Amino acid sequence: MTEFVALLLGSAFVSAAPLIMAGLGEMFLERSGAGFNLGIEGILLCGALAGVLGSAAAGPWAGLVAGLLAGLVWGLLYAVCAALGLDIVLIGITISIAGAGLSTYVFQVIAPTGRTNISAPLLPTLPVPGLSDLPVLGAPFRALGIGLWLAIGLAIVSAWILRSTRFGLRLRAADDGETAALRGIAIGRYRLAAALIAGALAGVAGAVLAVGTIGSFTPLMSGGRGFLVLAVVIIGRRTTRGVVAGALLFAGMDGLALLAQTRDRFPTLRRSPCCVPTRGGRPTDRPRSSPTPSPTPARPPSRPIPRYPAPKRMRQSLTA
Amino acid sequence: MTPGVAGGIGFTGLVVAVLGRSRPVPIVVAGLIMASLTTGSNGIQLLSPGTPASIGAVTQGVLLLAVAMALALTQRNRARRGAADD
Repeated sequence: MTEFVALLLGSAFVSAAPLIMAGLGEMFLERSGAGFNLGIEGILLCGALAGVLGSAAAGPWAGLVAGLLAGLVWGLLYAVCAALGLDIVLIGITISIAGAGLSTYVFQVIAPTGRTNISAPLLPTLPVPGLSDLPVLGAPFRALGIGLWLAIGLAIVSAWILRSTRFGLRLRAADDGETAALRGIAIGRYRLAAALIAGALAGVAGAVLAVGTIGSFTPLMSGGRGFLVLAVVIIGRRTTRGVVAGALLFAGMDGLALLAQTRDRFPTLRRSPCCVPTRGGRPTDRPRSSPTPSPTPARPPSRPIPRYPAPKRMRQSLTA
Repeated sequence: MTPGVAGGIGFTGLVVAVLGRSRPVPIVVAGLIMASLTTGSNGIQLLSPGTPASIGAVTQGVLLLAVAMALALTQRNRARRGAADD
């Protein structure tokens, strides 16, 4: 059981980091009142490709920076289009399609089918000081990916920014467009900043997704995580704490799904006495399992079942 | 039947509905355009192996962006004309 929990925690930590990062960015975007970005999926993919290329060229940290830059470009596109008054859903779908297509295109130009995939150096891992010494449960804490450390740090920083800096206060105020404008806040500037933050964080999340554990890019590798991020932000009610908790929840389910594939049944459940059917089951169970069903006569239909169109009598009663 | 048999067609259907601006006949035209972009890009990859088929997805994205801009422009013009009438 402890081994199961350790495995679950390990896989949940790995998949939580990108969700937390992209979720924090999306939270900034939604708190500033600039709508929501449906295109996180595309940004994640472009960030992942940029991360792998940067990491292969100049080390994993360069990969993170490359992912951030790729995300910034998409964030800028979103901000400009939203400021021009384009439909937000359309921008999101555009970014989603174009990002997925562009990353696949560039990847297949750089590494065509049949040639070896690009393999990039991975991000380093750090142990958690106190928890890594635990006997069995310490295993997942012994090598926590730098991506998760970064995500936790970003969560703390963004909570602080939103709550107690002038920038955060005005960004939240920009959500209430007209009032903020009356108070002399340049709404457009704060929404642009929020969109850039959202794009950059989604790009870094993509880079962490690719360079954190795998070290290579595959087309469409994000596998719908970008849309999961939107769900994370919604169930987290657009707060930092909620986003982190929601990301951990989804990451835990991700880990459970991965673990479920490693075992075909639940032998502990099957053997335990609580699940063995007792001899005196519920009375309704008995006739179904007995070989000769009790000869209860079928109840004769007392009156014909009405068909449609209803009989004339019924129609008359309806119209009367 | 394979797990990915739909291949994102549902998502593309949304795009087609937008491109056709929710009217039946234009939706047929938009569907033909999107489908020809997909199959045409496969043909491009067959004819010139250096070009991946995902160029079709990029083209779809650019097309959608252009249509979104055109929609925003027409709406703005209509609003301006409405304001001028008042």
